[in-house]
Amino acid sequence: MSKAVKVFTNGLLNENPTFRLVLGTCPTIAITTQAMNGIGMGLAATFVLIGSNIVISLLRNFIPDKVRIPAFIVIICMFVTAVQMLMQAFVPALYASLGIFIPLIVVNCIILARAEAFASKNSVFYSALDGLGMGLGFTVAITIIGAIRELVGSGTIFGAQLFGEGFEPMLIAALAPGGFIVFGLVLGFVNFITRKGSEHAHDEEEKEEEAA
Amino acid sequence: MSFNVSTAPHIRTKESTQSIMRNVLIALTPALIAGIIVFGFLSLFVVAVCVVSCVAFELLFELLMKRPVTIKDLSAAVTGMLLGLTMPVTAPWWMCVIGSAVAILLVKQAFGGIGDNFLNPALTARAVLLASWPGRMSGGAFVTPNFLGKYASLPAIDTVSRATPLACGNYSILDLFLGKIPGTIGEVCKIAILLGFAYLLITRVISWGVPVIIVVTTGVFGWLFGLMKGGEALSPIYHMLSGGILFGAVFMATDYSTCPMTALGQIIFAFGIGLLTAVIRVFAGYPEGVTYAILFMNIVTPLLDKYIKPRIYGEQKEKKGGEKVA
Amino acid sequence: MRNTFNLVWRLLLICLIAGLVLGLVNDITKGPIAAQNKLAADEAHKKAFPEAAEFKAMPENAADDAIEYYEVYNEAGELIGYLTSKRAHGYGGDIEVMVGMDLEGKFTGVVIGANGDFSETAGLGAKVKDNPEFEAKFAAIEYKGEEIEYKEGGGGYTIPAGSLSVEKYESESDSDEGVDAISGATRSSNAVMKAFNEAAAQLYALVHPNEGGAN
Repeated sequence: MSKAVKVFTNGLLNENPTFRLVLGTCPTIAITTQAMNGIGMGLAATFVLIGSNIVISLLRNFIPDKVRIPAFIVIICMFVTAVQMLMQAFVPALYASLGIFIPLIVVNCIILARAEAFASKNSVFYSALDGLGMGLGFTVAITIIGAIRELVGSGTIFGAQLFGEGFEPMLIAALAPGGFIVFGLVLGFVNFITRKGSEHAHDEEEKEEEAA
Repeated sequence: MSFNVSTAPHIRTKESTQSIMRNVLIALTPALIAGIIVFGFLSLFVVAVCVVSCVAFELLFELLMKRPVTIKDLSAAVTGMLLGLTMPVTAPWWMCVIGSAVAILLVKQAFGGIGDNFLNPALTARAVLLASWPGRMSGGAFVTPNFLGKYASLPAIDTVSRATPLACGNYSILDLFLGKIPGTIGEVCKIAILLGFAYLLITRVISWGVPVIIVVTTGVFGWLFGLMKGGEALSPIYHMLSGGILFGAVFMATDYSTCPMTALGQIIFAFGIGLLTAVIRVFAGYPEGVTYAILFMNIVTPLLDKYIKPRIYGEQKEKKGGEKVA
Repeated sequence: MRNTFNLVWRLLLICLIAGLVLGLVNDITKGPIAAQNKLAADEAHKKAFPEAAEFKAMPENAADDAIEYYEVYNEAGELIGYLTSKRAHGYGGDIEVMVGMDLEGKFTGVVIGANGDFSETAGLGAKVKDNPEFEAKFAAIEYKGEEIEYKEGGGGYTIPAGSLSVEKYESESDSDEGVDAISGATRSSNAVMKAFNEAAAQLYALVHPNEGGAN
């Protein structure tokens, strides 16, 4: 069971696609103007990721190495197009909000990267877990960024007004330059706290060695 | 008699970052005083909040990050004063504080402190504020000055015909010179800016090339583009004396770390700023373009430095035929 | 050659299955998507004509640059007015203004900027959109077939004498009637006025077909 947990938490923490692998930055910066967008995009991408990871893992012996990239893309496209149609039919508001970035999930590097690095080499069960972990890691990351940008740039969180009438939001946070800046700041902060954590762990290791 | 043993160099110039910065502060003072005369004591408040915030943020950052404290070199104070002078007098205090944070923490310190910034800190902060609170940094925020100390009490706004010189084009040259026009605190009185320019030249802080080329290029091309566009073109002199071009050319474009190192590089740099300003003023929707023009050329500077290398002392170039020529 | 054939048929099979799956999903979602589109269009139109029950497109009467003309019917199936949208070029792109007019020539509603490609500057031109007060001012106009213009004046900031603070300033006008352009958003406001005038003129012509000179 421990391997399963490791695979799952890998995508959430150690190899978080947004903050560690720094993949899929284009939709990250573009759609994180609102926290809700983060959740919507994240869950859509997670669905695609799990689906494509499972199918690619199932077919990993069937797909020849020479044409693996086109094969992966076709499978990913299938899932993304299905997600797009389902969203357009059943959650039109989110569909309108995410707009062009739904079909762009196809070229979201996270999905192709996991297909190549994991799903084509591992069993279905672990591939699905990896897809779930990576997808959720992505979702959490972009929701955090989206929440910050929404709070600073519009004064709302998940659509709910937080501040009074007189609050003048810092519009740039909801625009492209603000996206880059907020992403960079959050990434820097994540690096800062994980560095502190690893220094702490390193110090403890040294103490254990000396005691031994 | 005691003898000192030390390593070279043994002769040093009197200049230090602090002395240069002090001269810049002195050079900015006429513009500040003019701003107070034209817009009232609120201008002093705005600039003061900026200066105090900038110095405070730098101090806090350096204490928190356990780095050497550098506020004594006055560079933060200069950034604060520059930022304050590019704000409209109606800017609220919290905008000054946030702008200072962006300038000092994000543009300057996050990239390595003084000398390592790749953009002009005060100007970048201004651009961020402009994008964040556009209604407070342009258009409606510019009040018509009531000359000589009285507070402005008339709004300059009228959405059909905006009243900044570039937006309506019918102020007299004298008004432009003296500063009896709506605009940011430091940019309106051209005489004050020119006094500062002269002081900076005398104290050898900057050289005359970059500012002059910028201003002349803006004037000439602003006028030419205006003719191309049809309708009434503002004269070159009008362009040179309107908006933030004079202030930007003298105080912003000349920031050491964001200016190219070679003479040719600087000429291209200045020309680019002038050209871009003229393009933005005439063809784009903004009445003023200096901020973006200077920032854009700041980003181009590393490119200019990469391809235009200074001559290395003692280097000999090979002429065709194998003869060596110095 | 054998190797190539191997690659080809495997890839072909994957593509075929993917296509089949998508065809299935398309079948499932076709209906709901069409329903959603109609719902969205109707909702948008209802904002400019609250009492409407049905909108019928009028292709024969459409002028060249109109997005759409609609006859508006109430629940009993009676014609109660007309609806149209006009576009004008603002600062960053087009601004669409949707106007509804009842059979007496009064405006039933004005919706500004609902077009998908609305791209005016945030904080300045974008203020023409999602601005019920602004829209209500247009809807309150008594239209007689002549072009409407903005009121003189505007808004901004002022510094009361002797104070260290800044106050917002609104234009002083004798009456609440008429429309002020949005401060700092000249081009966007002008585009709205232009589109509005066009729409109003065309609607007026539809409502008063016998009056000359209202076009």
